[in-house]
Amino acid sequence: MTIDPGKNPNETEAADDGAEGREPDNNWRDVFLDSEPGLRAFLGRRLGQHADAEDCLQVVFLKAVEQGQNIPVAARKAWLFRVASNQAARIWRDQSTTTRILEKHAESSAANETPDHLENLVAQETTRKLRQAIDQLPPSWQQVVRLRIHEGMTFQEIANHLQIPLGTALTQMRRALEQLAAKVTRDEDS
Amino acid sequence: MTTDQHFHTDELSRNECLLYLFDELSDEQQQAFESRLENSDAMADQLARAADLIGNVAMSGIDGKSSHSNDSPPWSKQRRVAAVLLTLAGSLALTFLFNWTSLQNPKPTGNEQLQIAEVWVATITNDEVQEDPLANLESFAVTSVSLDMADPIDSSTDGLDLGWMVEAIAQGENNEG
Repeated sequence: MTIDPGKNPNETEAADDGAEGREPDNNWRDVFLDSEPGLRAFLGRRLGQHADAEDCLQVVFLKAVEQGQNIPVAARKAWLFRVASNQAARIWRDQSTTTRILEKHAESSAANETPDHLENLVAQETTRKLRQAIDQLPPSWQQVVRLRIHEGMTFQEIANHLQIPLGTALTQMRRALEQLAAKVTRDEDS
Repeated sequence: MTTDQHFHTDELSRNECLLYLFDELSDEQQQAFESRLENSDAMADQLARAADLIGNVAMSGIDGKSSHSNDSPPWSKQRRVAAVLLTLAGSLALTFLFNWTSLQNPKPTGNEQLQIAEVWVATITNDEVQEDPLANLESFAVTSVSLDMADPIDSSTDGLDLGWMVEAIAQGENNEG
């Protein structure tokens, strides 16, 4: 299955799954078009099968149309890769050897799917932990995260604005994200 | 490759992932990055991790109004501290001024209050009884029919006799010692 992101998704066959009547805003379309080669490369590496990667790409685009309206413009490309990564993991799970065996008996797919409401609960919990973790970051790091993700400033603009070297702005962003990841993971493990 | 070199390369690679996800690489850099992505699980993992975090932070809805975050330069913090100190100093000055004024104009003592009450009552009793036409109610009742329609009023001057108030104040003074 292939998709044409320049086309209205309502005209694609999978649009009947729930995206009916929704129009992607121009920014989403631009972001998707810009990200498509990278997403394809990423999914190809993750899934191995070209067909699986194309299916996954389709789902990513539909999710962007359905759920992406609240994502800040600056974070949309990252959000697409995040959705792609999660979708690839799901496909990988569903197509594991065990699943394939069970599929032969036509019983497995429903049992192996994670219910949406559970995923939502996990996402809400992660969001809550992230908010707490963000508050614990050094103020200068919080500032860089906010300016990049929510204000949409480039790293160079942030560096100029805060009068710090570009490398420092990048490093602060990266360390902030790493610390957030460590914090959320630690909380999940404990 | 030494550990330091590996760390440095890793750091550069992670920074590159960020720049890629935030769309800050040039077209050539982007194509080069995607070519490497096609052939590197490590890079795909790194990109997935960074994308997951950025996506989560974006969805966590922080809007920069966190208690810690502040976009203003450091000197504005000093200004805020100065403003708080000035407010405190002003409050203290007002309190001191109020207390000083109270000392300059002390409240009348109990005896003074009693004397004032006596004078006030005497004035009211004498002046108002004489001036108030209702004080001569009995004569009015005889001569004026219209007064029949008026509200019944005690004909005595008890209502104007405020001697009880003076007594009460004096008694209060005694009780208080």
